Amino acid sequence: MSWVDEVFREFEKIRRRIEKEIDRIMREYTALKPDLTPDGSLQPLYTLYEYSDRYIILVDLPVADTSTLEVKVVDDKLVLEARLERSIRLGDVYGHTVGQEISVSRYKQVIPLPADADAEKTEVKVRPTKIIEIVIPKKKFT
Amino acid sequence: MSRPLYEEEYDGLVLMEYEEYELSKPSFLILGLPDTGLVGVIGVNHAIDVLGMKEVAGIDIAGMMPPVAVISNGKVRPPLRIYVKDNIMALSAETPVPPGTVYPLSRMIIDYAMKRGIDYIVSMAGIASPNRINIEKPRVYWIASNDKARKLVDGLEIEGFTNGYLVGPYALILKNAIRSRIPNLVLLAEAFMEFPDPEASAAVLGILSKILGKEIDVKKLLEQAELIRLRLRGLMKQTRQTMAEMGTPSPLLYA
Repeated sequence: MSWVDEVFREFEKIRRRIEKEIDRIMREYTALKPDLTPDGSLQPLYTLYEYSDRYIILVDLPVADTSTLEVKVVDDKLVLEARLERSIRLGDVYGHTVGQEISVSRYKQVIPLPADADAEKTEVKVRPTKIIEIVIPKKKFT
Repeated sequence: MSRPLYEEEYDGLVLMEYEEYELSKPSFLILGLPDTGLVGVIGVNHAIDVLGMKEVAGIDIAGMMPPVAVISNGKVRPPLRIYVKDNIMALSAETPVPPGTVYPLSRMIIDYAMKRGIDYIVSMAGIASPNRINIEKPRVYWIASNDKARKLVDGLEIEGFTNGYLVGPYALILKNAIRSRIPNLVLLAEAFMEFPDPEASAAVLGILSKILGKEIDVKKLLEQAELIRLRLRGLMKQTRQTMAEMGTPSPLLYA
């Protein structure tokens, strides 16, 4: 084995160690981020899609009373809130022993917007499946 | 998890049988592993419930990270569970399969299916559809590992999945099934990539009922769809993350 191979092998070892460490940190970071905030609201799942002329954000709001939905633009963020149809005991949903008595009654999510999103022209569509479609055009630079 | 009757270990995975069981013929193994829209997890759990299947075995990931023990009814249960009834075996998972475990797990599943004389492995999966929001009834596509598996969809009006990618545990199970000459049919329903999608699961269960010749009623599943979506938010989030790790290789790979 030439010295070049040895150097490469050593680099490979270091690379693997770095990769493992990054994975570990990422996992810890996401594991610690709560999806139930202390004020008793649930963070809904959302996805942001980018198209050439617009962004589309889908938000999953099962059991929400969509007539109470509020979407506001605050600085460069979208703040979305909605009440649940009924307050839900976490014990009934998850069946866990601890925290059974905790109830949640609303959703809240803060979604950071990309810099070129024209938030003033935000359009919100409520689907009967309780998935919310938010369309935000991109700013046109002339 | 009481001490099992039989146990085998392969590359960090432990398979345990808690009791003796026999399957009648032709036997099917239905897989419900977390992927796009959690189609498999939701569908298989519903089938287990409706058919009244019995938990007889499980697979534990011995070195699982993060280290978690699932406690239910006062007992420790492995994250992957195996249920049986008549000629059907079902595997359902409670955590996403960590990327490093996908390969040994696919080997273990195929190996176990062969040991138990399974005739067909049916994978219930989702395929991300960018237009899912505008689709009322998700379509179901199939991929077959060989001719015997393809015959399962004969006469059913569903399309083959002719071009595209399959990422994750089902991909390796399919490849290992081809190598081991065990029939594997993958049923893919159009689904939301990042939201739990019970409607997509119902679409796959409709096809599965015809293949099994056994009606799996999806009424309850559709009625409880919103609660299921609420309950599975956490698992969906973890699955998204695991899938992202599998789908895109770390940029450091090219350093």
